[in-house]
Amino acid sequence: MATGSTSTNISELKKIKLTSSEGTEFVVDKDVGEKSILLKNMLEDVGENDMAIPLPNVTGPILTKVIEYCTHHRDDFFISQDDDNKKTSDDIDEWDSEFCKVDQGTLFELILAANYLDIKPLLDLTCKTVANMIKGKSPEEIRKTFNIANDFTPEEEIQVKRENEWCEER
Amino acid sequence: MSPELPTACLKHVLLHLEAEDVARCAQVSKKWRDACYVESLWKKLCDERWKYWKWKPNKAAGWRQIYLARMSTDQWAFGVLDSLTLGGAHYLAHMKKLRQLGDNCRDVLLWILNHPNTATLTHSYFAKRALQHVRRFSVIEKWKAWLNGTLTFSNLHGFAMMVTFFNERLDIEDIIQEVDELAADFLAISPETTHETQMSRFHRLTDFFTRTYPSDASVLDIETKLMYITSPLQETKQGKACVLAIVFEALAQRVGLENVEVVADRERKSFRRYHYIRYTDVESENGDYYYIDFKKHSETGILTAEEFDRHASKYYGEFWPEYKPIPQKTLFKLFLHDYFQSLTNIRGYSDEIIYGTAVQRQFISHPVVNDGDLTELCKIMKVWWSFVATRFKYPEDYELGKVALSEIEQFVGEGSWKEQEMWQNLAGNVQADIEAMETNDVTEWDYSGALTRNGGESDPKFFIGDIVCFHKFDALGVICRWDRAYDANMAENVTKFHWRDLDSPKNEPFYEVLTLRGVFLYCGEKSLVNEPPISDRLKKMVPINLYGDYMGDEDDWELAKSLGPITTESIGCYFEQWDSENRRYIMNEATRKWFPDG
Repeated sequence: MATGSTSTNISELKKIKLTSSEGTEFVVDKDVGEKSILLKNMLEDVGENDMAIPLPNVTGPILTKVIEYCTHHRDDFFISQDDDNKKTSDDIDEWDSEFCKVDQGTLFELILAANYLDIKPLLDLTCKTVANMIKGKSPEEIRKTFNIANDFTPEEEIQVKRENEWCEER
Repeated sequence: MSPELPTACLKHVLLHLEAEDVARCAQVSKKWRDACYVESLWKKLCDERWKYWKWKPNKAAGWRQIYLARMSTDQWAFGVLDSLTLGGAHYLAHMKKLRQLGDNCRDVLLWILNHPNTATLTHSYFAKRALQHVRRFSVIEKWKAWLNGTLTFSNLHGFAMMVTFFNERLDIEDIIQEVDELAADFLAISPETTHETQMSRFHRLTDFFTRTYPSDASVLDIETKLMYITSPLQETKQGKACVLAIVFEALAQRVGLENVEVVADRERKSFRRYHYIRYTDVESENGDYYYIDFKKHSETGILTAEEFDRHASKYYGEFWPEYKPIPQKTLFKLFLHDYFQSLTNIRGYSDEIIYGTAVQRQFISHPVVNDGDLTELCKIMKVWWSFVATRFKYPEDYELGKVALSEIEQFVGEGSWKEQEMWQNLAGNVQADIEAMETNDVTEWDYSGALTRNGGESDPKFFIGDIVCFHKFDALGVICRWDRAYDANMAENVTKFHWRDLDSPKNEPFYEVLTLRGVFLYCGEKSLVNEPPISDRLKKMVPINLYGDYMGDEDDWELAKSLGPITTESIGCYFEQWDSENRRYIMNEATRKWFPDG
């Protein structure tokens, strides 16, 4: 994603500028950028402006991924996901699942970025991907998967086990 | 070495997990535990799983505890449902248990239906049946409330309730929701303007309504939305007009239009025809009347009173000068009357039901009842219902049957009826049925006669699960169990069917056959013939059977088809699956225990 000439053919494709946390400048089509509700609201508030929008919470590589996602889905009509099917985590399409084949660190950062930029479909996608890593696993397996230390005291562990033993009943 | 999942991420991820996975996550670490015990997460899980749960949540306990409590209620209900699936003997007791859950049972059962993986084929089939019973139960409760004068409702509501009561096909909420959606659509395309007259509002509503339900729309089109509530009535086209009139009235109420009434001519008290909407324009000087005739509404639109009289006389061959609003009581009565009438016309109903129906018809046309109040009407409903319930072995209505029995006795005792003797007989029958039911409830099925198939004098010809045909009657059944020879005990237990009619030698194997209509028959080998594997008749029988026994929606059809040709609920007591390839049923565990080799 290179910095390039802007505002030459405004009437056809409006561009917006974004600055990642390292200060790298990204230029994206306005409709791609507006997949982010945060940016969309910001642009509405600020109006026509050539100023780059600073995104201090998002690093360059992550922003690149986010833009890749938004560009691929630029023509999708993001429906609000309030209906019943939001819970199913098996319905990830091929491109999306390819997109999520990244290391865990990147995935977590994508979740944070999607949350910060308010891109609901991306947030759902990334969360579903992580949820799928958790499903059906025992606590110990989950710890291994995410490299988490068990910081319970023995007493605490007995208690939390007792409180949740019902999940193994069926 | 990957970085740790930030808590901010975890919060979002947990929203995509089911409760069991969340419970495992809670055991990972302190941070995870805290994230997993967040109240809002459990509230979401509760809301998702129990959409219609009626018992008030004990919020002091916290949503996580509420979830756990409801889950154990679920498990209890699953247990009861399992018992229902496995055995017929304690059917009554199990249905009673399910009833304790009341409306919440619906939620549990809906959940089972929506999660087919957690339930077997018969399991979800039973859930569906149980659901219907629970619905009917809540309707009975509402009737009782109505009887005591604590409940008032519109024509539409009462009408829907009535239908629910009888054929169990319609949820009142569904039709109320339908009307609400219509009202919302109407308000969306033409929002309220303060300066407009009620009359112009009436015009707009009529335009809207006739666009939504044009008179040239096929009955089937409308049926998918509203018409199905009238299908017990035979003449669907006229029934359509009536339903549309009632829906229009309800819609007008929703959008705040006053003085819209369902009216009928004074003389003809038939339910199906001659129902119109009358609008009284109180803003005009004379309080003019306008009518909509739903039979022809898209051609005629709104008619003035004079136009309408002319129009009506043209279509119906007579001229009736006066139309009266129909009070709900009358409407129900008319409906009831026609319902009975159409019942008697349905082929395949046994003499008892036709007899009972005829009695009831006489009953409601009796002048005392006709001029009586709602209490009388409700009594009729109960009596009739209990009659059907006990005669037709709906043991779950046993309690109601008892109540009804005392009612019948009360009527009989009053002695003002010409049909006194008939009523006494009826009461006697019901009493006998209830007694029989009480004994049956504690009697375990006796399987001691069960033998192995091989090595006897005369080996049974049919296997359990086989589809058979009675050679004297054109009817299908499935073999449920067999004896080596006629067993008087079995004949006693299974059915009151006149097995003598089947002239089988008693020393040959006898079979218990579950028929299409859900009746168990005990009959000898000679009365049965093997149904050829893919006979044309069998293929034909499936849809006929579905039509006769199945009153549900399209999903029901799919389910019923997958259940094979015998779609009565008792099938689940013996079999777990329909093997469509070999066209036979596969035994469930309980049956296999008794008949290991079929």
